[in-house]
Amino acid sequence: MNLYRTASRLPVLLLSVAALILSPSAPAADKTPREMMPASTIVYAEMSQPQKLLDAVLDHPTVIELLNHPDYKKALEAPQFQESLKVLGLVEDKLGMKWRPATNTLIGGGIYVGFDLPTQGVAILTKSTDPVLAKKAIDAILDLARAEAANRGARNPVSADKYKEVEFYGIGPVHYVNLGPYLVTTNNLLMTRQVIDTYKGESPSLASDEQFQEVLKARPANPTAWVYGDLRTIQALGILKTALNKKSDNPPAEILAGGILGALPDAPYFTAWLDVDPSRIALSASIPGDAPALAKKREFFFGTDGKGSALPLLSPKETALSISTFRDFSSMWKNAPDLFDDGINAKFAEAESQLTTLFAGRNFRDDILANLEPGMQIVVTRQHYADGSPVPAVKLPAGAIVVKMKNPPETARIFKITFQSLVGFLNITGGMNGLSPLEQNFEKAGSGAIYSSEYLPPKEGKKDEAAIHYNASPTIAIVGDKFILSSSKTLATELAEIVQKESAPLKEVNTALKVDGQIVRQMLVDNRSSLVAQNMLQKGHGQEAAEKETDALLKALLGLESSSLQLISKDKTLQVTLELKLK
Amino acid sequence: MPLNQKLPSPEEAWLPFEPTAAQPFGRREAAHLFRRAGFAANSRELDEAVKLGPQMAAKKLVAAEEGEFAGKMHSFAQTVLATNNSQTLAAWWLHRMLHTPAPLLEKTTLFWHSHFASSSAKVTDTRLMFNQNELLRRYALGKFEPLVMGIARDPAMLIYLDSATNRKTRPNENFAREVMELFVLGIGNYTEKDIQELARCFTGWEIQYGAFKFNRYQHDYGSKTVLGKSGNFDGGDSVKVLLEQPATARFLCGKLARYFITDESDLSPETIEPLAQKLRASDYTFAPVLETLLTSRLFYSQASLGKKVRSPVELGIGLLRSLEATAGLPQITDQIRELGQMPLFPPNVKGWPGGMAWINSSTLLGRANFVRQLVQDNDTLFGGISLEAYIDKLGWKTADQVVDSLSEILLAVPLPKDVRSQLVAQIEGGRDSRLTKLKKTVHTLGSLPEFQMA
Amino acid sequence: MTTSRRRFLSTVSAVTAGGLAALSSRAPRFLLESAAYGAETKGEKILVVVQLSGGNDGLNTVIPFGEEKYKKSRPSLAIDGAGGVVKIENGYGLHPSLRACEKLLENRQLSILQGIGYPNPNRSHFESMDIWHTAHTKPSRESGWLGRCFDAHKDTLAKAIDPPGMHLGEEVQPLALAARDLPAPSIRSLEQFRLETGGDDQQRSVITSATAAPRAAGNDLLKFVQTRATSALDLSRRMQASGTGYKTTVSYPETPLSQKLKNIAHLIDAGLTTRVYYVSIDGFDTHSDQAGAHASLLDQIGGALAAFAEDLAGHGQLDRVMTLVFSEFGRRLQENASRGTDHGAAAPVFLVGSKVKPGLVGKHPSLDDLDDGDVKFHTDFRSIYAALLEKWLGWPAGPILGDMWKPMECLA
Repeated sequence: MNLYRTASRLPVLLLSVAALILSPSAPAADKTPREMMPASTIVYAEMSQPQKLLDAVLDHPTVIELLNHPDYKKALEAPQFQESLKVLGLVEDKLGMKWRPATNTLIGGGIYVGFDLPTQGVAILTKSTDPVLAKKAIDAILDLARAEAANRGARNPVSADKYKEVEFYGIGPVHYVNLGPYLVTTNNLLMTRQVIDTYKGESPSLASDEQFQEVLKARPANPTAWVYGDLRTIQALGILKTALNKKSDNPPAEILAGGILGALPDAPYFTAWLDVDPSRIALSASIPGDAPALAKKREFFFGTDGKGSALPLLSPKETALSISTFRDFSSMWKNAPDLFDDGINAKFAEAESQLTTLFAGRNFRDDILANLEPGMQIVVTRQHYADGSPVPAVKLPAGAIVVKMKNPPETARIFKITFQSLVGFLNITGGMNGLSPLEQNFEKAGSGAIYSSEYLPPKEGKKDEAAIHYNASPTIAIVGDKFILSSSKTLATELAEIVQKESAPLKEVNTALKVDGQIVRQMLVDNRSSLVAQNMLQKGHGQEAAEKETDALLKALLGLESSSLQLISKDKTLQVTLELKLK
Repeated sequence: MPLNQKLPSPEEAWLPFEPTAAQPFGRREAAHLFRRAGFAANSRELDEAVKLGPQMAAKKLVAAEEGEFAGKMHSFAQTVLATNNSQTLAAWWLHRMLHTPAPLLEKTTLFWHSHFASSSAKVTDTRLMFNQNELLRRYALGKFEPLVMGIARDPAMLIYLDSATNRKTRPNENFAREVMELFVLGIGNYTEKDIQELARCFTGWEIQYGAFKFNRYQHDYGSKTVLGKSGNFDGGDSVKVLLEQPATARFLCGKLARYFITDESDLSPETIEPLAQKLRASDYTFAPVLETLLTSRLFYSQASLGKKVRSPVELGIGLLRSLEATAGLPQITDQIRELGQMPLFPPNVKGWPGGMAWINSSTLLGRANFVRQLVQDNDTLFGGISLEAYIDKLGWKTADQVVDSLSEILLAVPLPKDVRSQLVAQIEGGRDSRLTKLKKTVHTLGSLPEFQMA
Repeated sequence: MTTSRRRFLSTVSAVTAGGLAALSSRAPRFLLESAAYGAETKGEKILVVVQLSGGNDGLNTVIPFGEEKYKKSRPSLAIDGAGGVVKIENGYGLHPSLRACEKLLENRQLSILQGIGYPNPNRSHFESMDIWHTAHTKPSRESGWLGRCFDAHKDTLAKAIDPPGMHLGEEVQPLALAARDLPAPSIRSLEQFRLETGGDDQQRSVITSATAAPRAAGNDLLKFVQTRATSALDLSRRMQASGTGYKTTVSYPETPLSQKLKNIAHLIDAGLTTRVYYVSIDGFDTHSDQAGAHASLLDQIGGALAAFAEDLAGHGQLDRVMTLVFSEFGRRLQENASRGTDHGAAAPVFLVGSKVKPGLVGKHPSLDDLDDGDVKFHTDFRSIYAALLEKWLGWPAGPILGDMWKPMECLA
């Protein structure tokens, strides 16, 4: 598994960073890393308290669980990994301490990275909290490089040189120089010189750039890590315009991210930040984007006035996934010729023909979609089986979609009739394939109505090993101007009650999504025997090995509380935030 | 072995094979036994078999499957069936073949699947296909009569043959025709009239809602004459009449011989006859007949050794089992299908033609690509470890040892000398890592004509 | 068949045949014949079948735009002469989305057989498709019309290196190819015709030379496999994407049907001995909002057929490849209330090749003489089959179709 492979390299990566650190007891300089990076830097990242991130990640129970996973241990047996561990051991010996406290000390004062376009150079600035250890570390690295070269019979690879009175070292293309309290590591000589020039004030710095100053002002307080990207050069080249302004051939991508992709070609910069503490990881990214202007092309994404916002997330009992979004599919379908290429439009035409047949001759675009207000709420919950009804061997989640109708009485009738004829159609085709029939029922729910259908229970067989289709009891509910389409009657009934309470749209939130880790885990636990069977099939394992792996996965999931995603449009910026809550 | 070695005469063919210094029972011979009676064997299994000798080794293969494994596989299947996906059920069966402690049972079940062929392409209810599969397994090494009777009532079979209804006013001849031609007697041993009469015996045998039902209102209770015998027969009586025909045992034994001994159909009727007598004498029980077959002189003669083309299932599962490998079964199922033998999807009621029909340009290249993909995939494990670690564990150190031992396990026919030295050189030279070289060696061996032989 | 493969086969046959004849009197007949067959195969005729599943609207494919009744019956779907119809002759033309077929008509490579069907039309998709596949109006699902040909000629066909029929696609194999003795494979991608070595040429050459190395006498079956393996590796060499592989200047549209036909052109050019290729395209069951969907489907067909013919011609193969395009039925004359059309009966069939009777063949069925609302057939589809079997593939039609079908005059 790639995850494990990546995770397995983590300590090595950290070590390589740590190994580049050296911080002599030079007098404290007044220059900040931003003032040392050249003005032509196009990507700049800073992390002032890296230790916080390391502790949060490495001490997390889920990570510890992963590190104890058999697949991870297997990865450790790989020869290239064993080699890395050997090097790590050597360095630890030289430093007289384990890699983790050593890393914490060596980069404890922060780590800052910049990429400069003209020199194609990367500069990494690090600040140690212990100058003595820093000196030991760089000595260890230089020693190792010399020893390794000697081993091969090569000459001393470590070079030393001076630029404008400042001394620096090099091993191959990598250069080290001490500037103030920082160790500067670069990937080429030009960049080393550029940083020295900037440090000495002989060349303008990133800090003096106006756009950078503005972005810096607006950034949130104390992020664990922060990244700034200057897109002006790329913009001038017009690369993004050609790549992103053409018509899309990917409807899912357009629905999910069309608005952002549309804003990107005109955005002069992007910025992203990470917040980490032991219970939470949040990653946000933002670009300038004027929703009302963007709405000219993508009305379906932002609404006519650019202020389209989503309704609050629905959370019926044991919700595993909840999505709420402002998307106007009717508008998207109508504007498809402007949004999508000819191939996709031809597919839309074919789909329209088939969907219209399915909806008993009612045009899918004009009679169905056009009767819906923009916006859609989707929920997926753990399935609740009514008492006495058959429980399937494979337990699928229940799902529902909630939309708002434009002309409730009339539209509701169309939907009701369509639903009834669909159930009839399913009964005919299902009957030919030996499925038991769906029984239709009607119930009042407050001011609304619930039209449900349920499979007749099987005559034979165990009640708790029913076939998979007993997960479905297709149901629609009509409550005021809300239309609910649900895979399960129980869920529809619950939602019918929830949506009776009027709720205002979320301010500035275009799209919101939330996943409850523990409910997801519970749904997997419900299906443990299927997961074991899946593992036996997918990996070819025997039963015991499959059970062991499955249980390890279920245990690892204990650590995840929830994750959520939001797309926010405010103050002429578009911001995406992904948050992971941990236990 | 000497080329001019005489093939055993019909009288001697089925006598027990007794190893001699000139023709021993070594690892190669043991590998032959496992390739035919199962899905090939790994190095350890070969050593065990050599110790047991040909008679005891065959006895062990014929013994019943342990109940615990069968139970586990049954509940595994229930989970798979919940999704009603026939591809997944095919993968389940391949998993069973891969892990079974009783490979002969699985191999024989596959034989009956091609003999009593029904396909998921038509039978969309996967549970019916599973039930048929369990029926075939239940009697695979047991008695023929209950097997035929089970098939005559089997929903999957009757749906497959468009015989779910059979009314006395219009007897459905489809099933009766296949019983005569493909299932019991074989072509040339009956007349059209016999088919019509047999169809009358099965009137009223119907499938309703996926289950067998005898509809007494639709059964023809009149007298029928089948193969010269007359009486008020029902389906069961008529099967008894068919089993009394001498042609039946000959037909079945001929087919078993082609499946277990050789694709070349030049085994004479005289050679088959003693085995057919044995089948009749055992009241049509297959275990003792297969034990005779798998311990016979004919089985270990030049008429049999290397004289079969590996079927795609034998090739795929065989490769995995001989190196104790595990890999994702959906992909393996997919590839085995592309090679022309998707379990549960035989091409028609005659089953897979087998033999030379397995071989054409796309399947040969597909076979080589299959072996490559399997060894190159990092998720494929050999005895739970990497190919290199596995081969080290078996103690195959030098290039000669590796090539010879792999050949012994994987190939039914020894390699020509210069090909062998080419492979040895490939391991000895070059700058690739040992793991890469070993993977290439398996890939090359798996691409050669020798590997295509069973 | 390309010269290299022919040359290769004759070499192999000479070597193996000689070797074997010397070896034993119990000569392995299958091996000798197999080798000989390869040597004698000379560019045999090939049939490519393109199936339009769902019931293609024949009246909006070959459009009687001059007829008032057509316009009246199709208030939203009628396409008139000014609407970009590809005109063929007085009042008849192809749907505007079949523009790509104009070139085929000019080159006399497209034959439009009109009024094709069978008695007592069946309007169920499955049953009517079965009728076309089996060529029996009371189908027993035992075998297809092409499959029966393979079985009837199994003695010669089984000796060829490649299977006689091949289906390209992911869907269930069409019944037309079902045979009792010589099943046809379903091919999903051309990767199945290439030896994969991850770009390692040395590995490729080790496998090739180890496969070709002489084997000891005594195992005819092994020799048989070796012959075919050597030939397969030779095919693979010619199928490799780079180097000596297939090159075409024709740009096929990026549609699944086009890509399948391109693959077929590639296989034909590589010298496969396969006689029949089968592909299908679904989506013609246009009960609602037909206009856009049908246009998109016809566009895919026109583009694919034109590119395929041009490509085959460029490789000198068009003279031996005939393409048959059919659907299980046409659609009603009267459009329905949801701007679509319902299941009908008679419809046109297309033949594409250099040896066809070009243009319209047979009369367009009358719109005034309808059978339960559908245009009537005047030519049974089995007479097209008979023509393709006898005059193209060279197989007697009687044993396959019954004796009552006279070959239609549709080939040049």
